[in-house]
Amino acid sequence: MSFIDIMLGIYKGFGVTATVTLLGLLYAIPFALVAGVLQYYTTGFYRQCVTAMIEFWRSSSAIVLLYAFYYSLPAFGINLSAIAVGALVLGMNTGGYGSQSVRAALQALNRGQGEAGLALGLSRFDVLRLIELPQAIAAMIPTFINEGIQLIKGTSLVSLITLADMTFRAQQIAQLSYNPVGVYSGLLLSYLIICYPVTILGRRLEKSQQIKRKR
Amino acid sequence: MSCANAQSITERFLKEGRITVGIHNQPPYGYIDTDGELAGFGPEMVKAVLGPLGVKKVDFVIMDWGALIPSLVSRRIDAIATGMVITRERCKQVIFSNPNAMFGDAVLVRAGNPKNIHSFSDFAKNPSLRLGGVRNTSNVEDAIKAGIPTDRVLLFQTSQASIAALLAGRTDGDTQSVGTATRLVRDPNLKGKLELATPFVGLMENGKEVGLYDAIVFRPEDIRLRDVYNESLKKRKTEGAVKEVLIKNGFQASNVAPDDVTPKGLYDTCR
Repeated sequence: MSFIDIMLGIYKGFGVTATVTLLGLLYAIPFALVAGVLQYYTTGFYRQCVTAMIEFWRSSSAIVLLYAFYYSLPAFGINLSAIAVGALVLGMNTGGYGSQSVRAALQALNRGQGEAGLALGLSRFDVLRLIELPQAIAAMIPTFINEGIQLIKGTSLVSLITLADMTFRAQQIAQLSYNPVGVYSGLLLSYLIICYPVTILGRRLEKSQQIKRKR
Repeated sequence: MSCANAQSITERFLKEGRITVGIHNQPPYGYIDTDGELAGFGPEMVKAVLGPLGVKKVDFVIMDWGALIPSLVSRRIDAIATGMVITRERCKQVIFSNPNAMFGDAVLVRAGNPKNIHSFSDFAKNPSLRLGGVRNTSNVEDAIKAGIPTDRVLLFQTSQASIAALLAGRTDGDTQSVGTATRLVRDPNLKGKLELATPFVGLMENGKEVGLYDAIVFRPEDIRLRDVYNESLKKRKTEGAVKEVLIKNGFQASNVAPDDVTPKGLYDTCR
């Protein structure tokens, strides 16, 4: 098998890698925003609840969660498909990290900003919506792109719950003939080819935000 | 399908002719070949034995070796057909059909057999020798039962990884089933680097070398499906269909398991 054949074989799994990543983002982004804002916004008992939720997803190993959701839940009569489990676990795991960027970005704002808004007679929610979040989101973009890339690479774990993603395809090719150097350098290059454009996109987004802020 | 309303898979199988079978992508037992087609001894056995019973559709799912039994127990698949052999431990969780074939343990060594390895007991006796193998396989279990201390048995995720370790000198031998080992020795990319340790003596029990009996694995509640499989298997053995499948996958006629061997006869934990 030539190196090109190996690369083509690996990219047969691109659809699954892309699907898990995109579905994962559907969990990750809302969870990061909602949980991050709530952790910043609430106090006392409610804050503890939000923190517990974030910590469950952030502080457990993704592979352990994948196994638990895929192999243990059926024992309780809950049967989620491998794609559903992969997207949920990897997305929420990434969202858990993301929520901390959201909270940190909100906390980094000068307190005077919020106080000025309140002094103008805006409600607390309007202060968040009109003053705090627009500035915080601009500040979060670099870390969000970072976590997006982590999510893409993290999808290689779904090969362990029977999904035929790029890593799975690589392992399949590896079984046919002994060629670990060819197969794994092919896989390395395959992920690089996907992730690097995302990095470039991230840089562009960052720049456009900086220009906006300068105006 | 939840456990509460799950119809027995035997009923579903007999009515709809549909079954989901797990394999673990290891030539020659069950794998996807260069053309992307399903091949191997396990899938072909299932088709040869269940085909005459009116099976219309067999869905094959490829998974990690270690995930096969958990997937079967958690009802993600209905059977395993990928060269899994009957063991005392596995019988505590799942049930086995009567054996399709009988294999032995094999050990691969670097070309020229520099450490002069010819049995598991060579490893057990010499504290400087390390043995590699794939996690959870019966080959590794046999090696440990033969007296090799676990700190000198290195476990890997796939046969490719354990072969890489052998070639890199991290291990001195690598235990695989005969089928996998033979295929690896013939791999053009490994030519001249590896060989089978011959002659080789595996695990001895009561003065006899222990045989590995490959069978199809089912869930304990699907005992009727297992019995249906057994009936058909007996007929296919008489017809010579089992021998044909074995030879096609690089084994010999002598690998067909004798009719009188049953899981129950092998281990008291088996049903």
